[in-house]
Amino acid sequence: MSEFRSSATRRDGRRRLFFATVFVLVVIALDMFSGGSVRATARSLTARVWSASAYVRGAVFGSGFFSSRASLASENAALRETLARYQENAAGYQVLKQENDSLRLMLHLAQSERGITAPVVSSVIASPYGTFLVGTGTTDSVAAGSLVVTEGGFVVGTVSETASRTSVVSEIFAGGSSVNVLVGGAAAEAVGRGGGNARISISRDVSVREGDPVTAPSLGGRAVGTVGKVVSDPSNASQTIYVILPVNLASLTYVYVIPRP
Amino acid sequence: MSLRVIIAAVGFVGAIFAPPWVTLACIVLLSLRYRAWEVIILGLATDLIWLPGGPSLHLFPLFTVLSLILVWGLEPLRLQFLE
Repeated sequence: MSEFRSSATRRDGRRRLFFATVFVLVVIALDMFSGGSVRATARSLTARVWSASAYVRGAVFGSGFFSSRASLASENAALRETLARYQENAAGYQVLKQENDSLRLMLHLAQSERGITAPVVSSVIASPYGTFLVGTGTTDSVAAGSLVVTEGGFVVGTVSETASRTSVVSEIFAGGSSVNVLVGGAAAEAVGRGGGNARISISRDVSVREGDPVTAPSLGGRAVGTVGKVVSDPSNASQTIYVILPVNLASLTYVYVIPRP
Repeated sequence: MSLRVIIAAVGFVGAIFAPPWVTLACIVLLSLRYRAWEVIILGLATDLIWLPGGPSLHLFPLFTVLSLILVWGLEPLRLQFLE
């Protein structure tokens, strides 16, 4: 009797799995033929959940119930944010210092460049594909390929897909991605490692120091990061450069979206 | 509340808030222990939300494919050890 029941349960479980598999295939087909309406809905829902959770988190931790923990956490977050801002400012200063002649031009460019400020409406660490969502889309004339930059002018990603009110941003340094950059006056290929980090392998002849800016000619010559560490071995003809984004991606709340040059 | 529901809930919440390894761990745990249809939906949801272009043919929908492989591929193991 129990064997019969176990066999029936097994059959039932398999049937559910089968239906779930068929359901997934149907959803994928539906999404493809509808031009992405299913994923647009999923992302819109995610953005709402994210925004709602921010409110809930604020309400719960602001209630005083977790006061000691909350105060420590908020202080920690504030310090991290301040540190990130200082680091970004310092790195931005380095970039501008090296490009002293074009300072006015850059400022003028930043002022005259048409773009839109957009909130980050998802977690930046949750995506397995190095993507995140911003709260702007086709209603604001944002198109795929637009550049996503920080306050300090560092390019963090490009818009890879747009819906009416949300857009998917692919990080420049998403794991496995590569981008052609200029570092120390030499062209090189930066291989993304995720989290705003990348690695460059370049000849040891090229003089590179920590803090040097890394720019991407394909992104209008904008800065994509700074040199975080240089590892050079006398027995090796090349040196490894670790590029970092001088801003904590997780602390990004707003970004600036500008059309691709 | 059963363990299965808790793991699935953590997986779905993790897909939005937590690093991807949390969702992946939930997928693996559910697939190992249960004949869980939630795993397939969880994989699909992750790809729908995060994969640029969605789970189309242009980019490999890693989580959807992985969840299908795991939940169907581990069926013999579940039959052997858990029933």
